[in-house]
Amino acid sequence: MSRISTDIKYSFKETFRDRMNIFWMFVFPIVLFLLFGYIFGGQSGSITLYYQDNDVSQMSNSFIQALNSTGALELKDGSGMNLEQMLKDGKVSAYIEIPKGFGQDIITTGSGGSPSADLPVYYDKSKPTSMAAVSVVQQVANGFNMKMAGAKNIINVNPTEAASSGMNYFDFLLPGILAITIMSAATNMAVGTIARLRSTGVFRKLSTTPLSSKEWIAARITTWTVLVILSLAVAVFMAWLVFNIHPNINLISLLLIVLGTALFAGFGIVVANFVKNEESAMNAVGVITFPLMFVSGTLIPVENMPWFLQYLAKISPLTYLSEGLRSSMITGNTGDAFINLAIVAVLGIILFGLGVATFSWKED
Amino acid sequence: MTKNVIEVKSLVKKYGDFTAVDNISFSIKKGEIFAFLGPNGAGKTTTVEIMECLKSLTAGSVNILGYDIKKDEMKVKQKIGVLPQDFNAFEWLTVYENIDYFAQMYPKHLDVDSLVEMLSLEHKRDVLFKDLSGGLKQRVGIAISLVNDPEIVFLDEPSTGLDPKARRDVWDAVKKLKKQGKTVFLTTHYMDEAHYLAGRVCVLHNGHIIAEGTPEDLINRYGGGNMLIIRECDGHTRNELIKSIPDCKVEGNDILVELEEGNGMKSMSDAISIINANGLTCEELYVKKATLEDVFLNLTGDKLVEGGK
Ligand SMILES: Nc1ncnc2c1ncn2[C@@H]1O[C@H](COP(=O)(O)OP(=O)(O)OP(=O)(O)O)[C@@H](O)[C@H]1O
Ligand SMILES: [Mg+2]
Repeated sequence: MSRISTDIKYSFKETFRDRMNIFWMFVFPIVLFLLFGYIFGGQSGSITLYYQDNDVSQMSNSFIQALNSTGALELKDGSGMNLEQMLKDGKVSAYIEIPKGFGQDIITTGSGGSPSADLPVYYDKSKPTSMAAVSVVQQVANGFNMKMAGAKNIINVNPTEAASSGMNYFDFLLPGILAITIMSAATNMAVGTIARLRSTGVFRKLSTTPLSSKEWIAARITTWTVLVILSLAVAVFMAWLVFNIHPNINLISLLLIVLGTALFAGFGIVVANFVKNEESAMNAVGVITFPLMFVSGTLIPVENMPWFLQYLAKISPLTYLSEGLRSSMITGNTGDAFINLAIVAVLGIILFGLGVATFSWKED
Repeated sequence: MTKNVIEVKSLVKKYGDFTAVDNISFSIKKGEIFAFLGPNGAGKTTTVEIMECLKSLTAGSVNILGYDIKKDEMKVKQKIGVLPQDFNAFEWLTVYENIDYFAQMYPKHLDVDSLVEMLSLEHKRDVLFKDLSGGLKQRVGIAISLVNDPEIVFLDEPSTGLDPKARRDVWDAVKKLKKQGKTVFLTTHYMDEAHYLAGRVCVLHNGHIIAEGTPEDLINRYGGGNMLIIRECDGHTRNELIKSIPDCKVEGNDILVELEEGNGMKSMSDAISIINANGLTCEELYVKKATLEDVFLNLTGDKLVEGGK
């Protein structure tokens, strides 16, 4: 036991003495947050509008065509999706629900009948693009009214500020940055420490002492987890101070952080076990983790990415960590958070287990 | 009779098809300073690391302090101290902290500051390891190898790459270990180091032991004897010398005479008389003693011609 606590004590000392570590752990996440926040914050690409066509008439169809032909929107068929929940989770910024009887209502109104055809638009006020989507819908409806009834109001667009996610881009981004920090800190600490101690011969020395390699891993994963938590705490504190973001810190989010650290540390250990050269090991890790930063729904929602990147997002462990953190810390969707936690836990146990099983500082 | 603390029998180590250590046997008694002497790639580190339970062996047996290293690895580890080749400790810890780190790995360990003092590291006690010179790093390494008060200390090339002063400091440290009665296993490719420190030397070459004994022993047996060298004589004196001393060799204006046991004195006094008779027309005259260097060169055959035999 005292062997493990000695290693923990001194690995903390070493970490805090090297200024570079301080930069990567405490400054870099904040830089990333501000950088991406301001680059993507105002205009998160194209305006996406989801629709649910419950009418399926010629009229509803031509209305959707008209929306599409404006070119101002990216239309997505949301049939069968729980758009209300997705909006609440910040995955959708606006959607329309074409009610049953929409086409019929237009025809009756057009021929003098009284009720106009209602068209509800739900939008998330906290998303800058949502208002644009609403106004495009409004304009297309006006065009219909003009053409068919001479400015008589037959389609009545009904914008509704939905139970919003209350999530602006910075809210969305924070858990993404936290997930990226967990990934890069855990993998780099694992692969960096192992590769360096192996190449400088410290492992050779350690293996002649009673300390076992399993004890060493136990000590280091403790250190790394605490360091990751400290690093996230600083980032969250900054986000609170500067952007007034109040993420929920709960058991699920803590478990996600711990298991996410184990997952990516495990990955780093595995790489270091198989790539014995220090520089190649660092490069191998960089080549894999760098793209993951961008395709895992950390910086922009997975739903807004091109379809082929969405496939990459599905196989990226970072996606589940980031979505899990977003659900547990920002949107409060416990069900979703729990599913992501389960996925991260399984992957974490597998990768960390694999790392420990293949780790040895003995030579043959 | 003192007992053997290390017994190595028919040790073989292969890396794939390549045999790095080829069927070597030796034993070491308590309190000895024993040196493995050999060039790069001779198999020194491989042998030492097998004894330290760091590498597995292919065949043979190694017994340390009565324990078979294959069965009682943990017991062996508790009782040995190791300075690996190219030693490094934790860069961002100080000298004191590094020694303390390794001390804490053992249930029983020496006082850290007394080790700092023993290796004369007091003035560097709180300096980060990464900021130390090579010689100081080696001394920290030796201090660390002593934290568990080991019965046997393995030092793999403790002075390689150090300047003469730093080497002396390392040598002093090794001598202190001998005084404390510890058994020291040393590897080196410096002949003078082996000669100065070791009571017994094993010459290793291509994975084989090619000679073993005390340094004096080896020099007498394989050194090719002492050599009388007479430099820069004029032509006449040279001819006189060649005529009256059989078996002498000529190299340019120099004359080399191998001094065989028994009639060495006679050759010398003959030479001096001739030089005297010819009006002191030689530049200098001296006797070169054989060293372990010669032993090594003779044994490995690298410069066999020059060494005689
Ligand atoms: N892990 C390994 N795999 C393959 N060959 C190895 C390995 N380790 C050592 N060797 C080879 O075994 C031979 C003996 O190496 P060893 O390190 O024991 O030599 P050494 O006497 O310590 O040399 P040096 O003075 O350079 O330290 C060398 O030819 C070396 O290339
Ligand atoms: Mg060596």
